[in-house]
Amino acid sequence: MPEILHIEKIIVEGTEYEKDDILTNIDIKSVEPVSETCYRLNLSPFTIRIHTNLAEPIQVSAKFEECCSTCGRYPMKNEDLSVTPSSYTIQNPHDKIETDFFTPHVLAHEGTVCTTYNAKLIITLGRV
Amino acid sequence: MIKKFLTLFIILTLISPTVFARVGEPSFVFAIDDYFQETNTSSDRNNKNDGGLSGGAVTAITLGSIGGAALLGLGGWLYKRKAEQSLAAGCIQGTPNPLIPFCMERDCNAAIYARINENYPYLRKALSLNEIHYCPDSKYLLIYDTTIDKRKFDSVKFEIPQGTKSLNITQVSDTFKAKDMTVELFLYKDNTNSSEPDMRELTNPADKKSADTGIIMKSVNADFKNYPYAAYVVSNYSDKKIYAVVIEFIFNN
Repeated sequence: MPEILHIEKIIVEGTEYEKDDILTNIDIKSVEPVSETCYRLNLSPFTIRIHTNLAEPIQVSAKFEECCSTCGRYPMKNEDLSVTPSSYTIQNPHDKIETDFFTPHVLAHEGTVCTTYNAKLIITLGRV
Repeated sequence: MIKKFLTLFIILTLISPTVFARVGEPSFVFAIDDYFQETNTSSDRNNKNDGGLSGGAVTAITLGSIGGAALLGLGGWLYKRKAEQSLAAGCIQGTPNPLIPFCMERDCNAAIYARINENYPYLRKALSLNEIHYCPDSKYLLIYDTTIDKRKFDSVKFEIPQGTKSLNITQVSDTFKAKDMTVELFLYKDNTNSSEPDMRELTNPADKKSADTGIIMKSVNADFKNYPYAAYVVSNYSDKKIYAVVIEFIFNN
C-alpha cells in the first residue's frame, strides 16, 4: 500500500490554505518588549492539517525562511525570525490530524523600517 | 544481484535516520506600521476586534528611551498625514539615522558612475540634466532607481549640511497624470520627529509638463540654518512607477 504523508491544509484563524498558498490573513497579533530597543512581534498563529496513513510517529516542522521589505531594500536577519515551537512530534498519527499552533515571531529593533514585508515559511514533514 | 541490492536498500531504509521532506512553502505579507502609535487602555484592548494588534504589551512600546516614534521610523506627524491621504509606507530611508550628503567624484571614470550608467537608467538621466558640481561648492544625495507601488509613499530623510544656501532637486520618473504623483520636501528643526515640519510642495497639479515628461526640477531656498534636517517624500496615487532623484546641496552661489 503506498505511503501517504502530506499537508492537507494550513489553517490561519479559521481560513484554510493549500501548502504553497499566500496566507492573506497574517497580522501582528501582539508585541512584547524584549529590551529597551527591541520588541518581539508575534504574528498570527497557524496550524497544519496532515493526511497520512503512517502508524509511526511523524514530525512536523515550520521555519521562518525569509522576510524582506516589499521594495527589496530591507531584508530582516535570519536571527530575527523564528517560529515557536519549531516542530511538533505526533506520536499516533491517524488519517487526518491537525497540529497545535505554530506562531511566527519577528524581532523589531530601533532601526527596523516601518513598511510592508514579504515573508516565507518552510514546512517539513517526516518520520521520526 | 538485484535481490541483494533490494535487501540492502530495505535495510538501509529501515535503519536510516529521520527523513524529512520540504513539503510546503507558504508565504505572506504583513505590515509594521501605525500599530505602535496606539496607546491602548484596558477598555480599548477589550474592544479591539479588528484582527489587528491587541494585548496589554502594546502600551510598552510608547515608553522607553527610543519612544514609539523611533520604531515607527517616520515620525507620527508625517505618518498620520499620509494615512489620512490613504497612503501606506513604501520605502523609508534615513530614519532614525538621516542620510548624509557627499562629495561627487571628480574622476568621470570612477566606479560609481560606471555602476549608475550600467544599472540605474533613471538616475543616469537625472544626473545628465544638470552640470555636476564638486566640493566645496556642492554636495549631493542620490536616490537610486526605486519602484513605488500604487497608494504608497516613500520617504528619504537627510541632513542638511551647515552652510547650505539652496537645494537643486531633479527627479526623473515614469510619466504620470498631474495629480497621480506628488513630491514634497519637509524641513525639520530637529531629528526628534516630535514637531510638525515645514513643508514645500515640489509638484504642482497644474504643471502638466512635469507630468508628461516625468521630469521635476526645482530649486529650494530657505534659511537652512533653522532646518538641519529634511525629508524628501514621493507619494504615488496611481499605477506602479519608477523614479530616481538627485539632490544638490549648494554652498556657493
